[in-house]
Amino acid sequence: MTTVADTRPQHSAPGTVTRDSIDRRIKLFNATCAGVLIAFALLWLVPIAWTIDTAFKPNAETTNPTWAIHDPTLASFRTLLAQGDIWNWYASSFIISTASAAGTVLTASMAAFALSRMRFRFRWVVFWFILIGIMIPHQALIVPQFREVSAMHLLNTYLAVILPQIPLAIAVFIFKQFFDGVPRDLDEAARVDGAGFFRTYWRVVMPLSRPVVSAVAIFTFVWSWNNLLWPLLVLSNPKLMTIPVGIATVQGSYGIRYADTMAFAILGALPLVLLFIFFQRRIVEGIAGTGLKG
Amino acid sequence: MTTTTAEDLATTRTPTQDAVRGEHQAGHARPALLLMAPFLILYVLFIIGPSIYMIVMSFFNGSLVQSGLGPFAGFRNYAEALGNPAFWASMWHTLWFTILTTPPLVVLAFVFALLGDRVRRGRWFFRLAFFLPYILPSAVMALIWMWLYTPEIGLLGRVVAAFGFPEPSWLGNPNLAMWSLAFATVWWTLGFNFVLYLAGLQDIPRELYEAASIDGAGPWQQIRKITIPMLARTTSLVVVLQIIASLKVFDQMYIMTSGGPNFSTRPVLEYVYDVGFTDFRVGYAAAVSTLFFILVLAVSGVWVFLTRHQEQGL
Amino acid sequence: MLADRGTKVVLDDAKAKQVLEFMRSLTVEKKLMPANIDYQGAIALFASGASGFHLNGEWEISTFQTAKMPFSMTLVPNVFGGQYAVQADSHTLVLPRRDGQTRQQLDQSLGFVKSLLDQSMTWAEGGHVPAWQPVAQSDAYKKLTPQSNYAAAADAAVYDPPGWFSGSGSNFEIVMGSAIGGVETGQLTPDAAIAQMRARLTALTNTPSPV
Repeated sequence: MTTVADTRPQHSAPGTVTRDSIDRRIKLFNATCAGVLIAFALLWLVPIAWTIDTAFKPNAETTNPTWAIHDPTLASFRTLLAQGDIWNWYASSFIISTASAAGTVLTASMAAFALSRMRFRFRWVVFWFILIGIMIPHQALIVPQFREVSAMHLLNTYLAVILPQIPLAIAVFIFKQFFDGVPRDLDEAARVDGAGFFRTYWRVVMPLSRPVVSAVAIFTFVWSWNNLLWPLLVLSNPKLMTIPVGIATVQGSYGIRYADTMAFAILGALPLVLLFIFFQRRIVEGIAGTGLKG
Repeated sequence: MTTTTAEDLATTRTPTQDAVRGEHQAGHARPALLLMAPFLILYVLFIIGPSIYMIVMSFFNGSLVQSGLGPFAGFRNYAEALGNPAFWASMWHTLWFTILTTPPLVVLAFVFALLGDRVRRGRWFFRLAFFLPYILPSAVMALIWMWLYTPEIGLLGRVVAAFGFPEPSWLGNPNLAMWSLAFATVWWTLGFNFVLYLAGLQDIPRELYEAASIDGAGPWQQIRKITIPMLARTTSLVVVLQIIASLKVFDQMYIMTSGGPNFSTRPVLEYVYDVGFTDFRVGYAAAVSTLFFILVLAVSGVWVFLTRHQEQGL
Repeated sequence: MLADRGTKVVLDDAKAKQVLEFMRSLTVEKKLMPANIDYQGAIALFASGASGFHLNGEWEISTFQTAKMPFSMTLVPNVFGGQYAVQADSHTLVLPRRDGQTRQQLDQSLGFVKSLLDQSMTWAEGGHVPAWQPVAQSDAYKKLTPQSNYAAAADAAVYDPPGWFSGSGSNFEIVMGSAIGGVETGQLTPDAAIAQMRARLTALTNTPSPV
């Protein structure tokens, strides 16, 4: 990166533009920007702050609420955690999201490796076949998918949610784009040493692909965790419901127990918030990376 | 980012390399198929298969509680959908939601990213504030905003009342409900675009700005002449992602208003859900789904067409 | 409102208008009830003592008992005079015919039904009027107040008209409810509401039944 020589005069007669006055204007501008952004950021945090504030109140205090908590209590959290269902929902969400993420990463990366590295006659056919999948909105398919899953007798099982979530066409492209950029000499070296394609994939290319693997894994995990429509259709057994389905199903029945409802919201969001706090940089890099590659 | 191919590397070929290449050229098909099989099997089973099945189903009057396709209906389901005011209303609601949410989600995110780019320290705070809502499940976001919108005791109502205005019925007034949902959605998803724009801004070389300021360009001019054009690709990506995501909206309406009041917020997907899973009419629901499918494909197609030209221009 | 198993709309416009105008007078004109409030909000108002009456199903009794507020319950008043009738629904158990069912399976199904009926007092405590006569006629139930105050509703109960799209929480109730709600908030005039009901119900009656 080159630096441009600054030829503006530092001090000069009053009334003329000097480097100092420009610097001061820029500093003021930057400070204003910061101030405006801080104000908006604080506003953005209000809903979450209000939620937390409500959750630590006793239910009776929520029908005439102010920011002050007169009688702080963990009662709402205790009620919810003692209920039992929420633990099943955590387990369900965790199992389904992990399986979906693992499944997507494995199947998509394998297919992408084949498309990127291997030569076969129908390569472009397969490529375009998968390309159309990116344009297909999954939500439009709920009716036929439901019939299919029902016919397979998979309703009310984890597989009913996991299997349709695994084939993610966009993941294949993200992996392929990344693999295309990995130098071939490593592959060639491995193959000269007698490694088959699968070993090349597993031992050579995948270890080099950690950033894209973690990006795809995290995104699939989060997307699967937050998915509502499909699990809502196929999971009617309360013991198997995921967190969003559980929340959507019982939210009306809390009535005027608003503190309980807000505690429920917090508990429902907690796992992902923790995930975000630990993987913040990866997640942000993931968005920036895959997004800009367009 | 360059793509190396075997051809490029083989500038100095050796007999061994040739042999290796030739050998592998022959037998790629079977191992390739094996590697692609897991994905392709699930893909055909759960994406392509249902897509075709959906179109087939739309020509019959199937019932959710009966197996089989049901009696043949020809184009009647499509005729019914296209003549049904409830269908068009749901299409309009989806479109209206898209119109209400896309501009703020693009423009506000851009403005915030511009402001954020100027700030040296404390970036983590802004990232947290704006992106945290994005990782909340829709159900949690819905609980938070239903509480904010609660009549009489919700925070928003109280704030409005504190300024002396009568409290609007956020989710109960058919004319206001969609605005309330859109407002909540902007809060929820702005963070994603913010991060995208922030990354894009950081990729713009600083010397462009330095050169411009030496030429006497003020910050506003720099934004107009440098920043916005350099971010054109990011912007088009953000806009199309936003539009397609808005077309697929379901969760907020389902949880917060159940499509009401008086069906005034019911989007297309919830209409499909209602006719398919509450009324049990899966054939008709498949027809509506197919029409929705075509709409989303059309929007994606338009974008692909437009950005193809854009890449050539750059 | 519906006839011939939900294939014909027989809405009586005059009576509907009378009812809707009455409801509108309560909220919009006389402002005896808030026009714009949601389900939970109405409960909150009653529970906090801000409103004198609450019109709802009996299932909410446990909400108000938990709130430890003084209240009682009674039948919906006979507003228009004449023969007393109230809308109601009930929990119905349907045992589908299963060919090849063993005697043991049948015993288990019937045993399950019996276990529910044996719990009739629990159902009564939750607000429901027990259908199981040995409990309904018992002294224990009669002493259970305020639940036994409205036991007579069972004799005057009128269910939703039969139809494939009718029933508890059905499309029928959503269509009717949104129109009536629109009248209560002042958004719809009674005539507009009736037209909306008729249009939507006709669309539903014209649709062949998927069951």
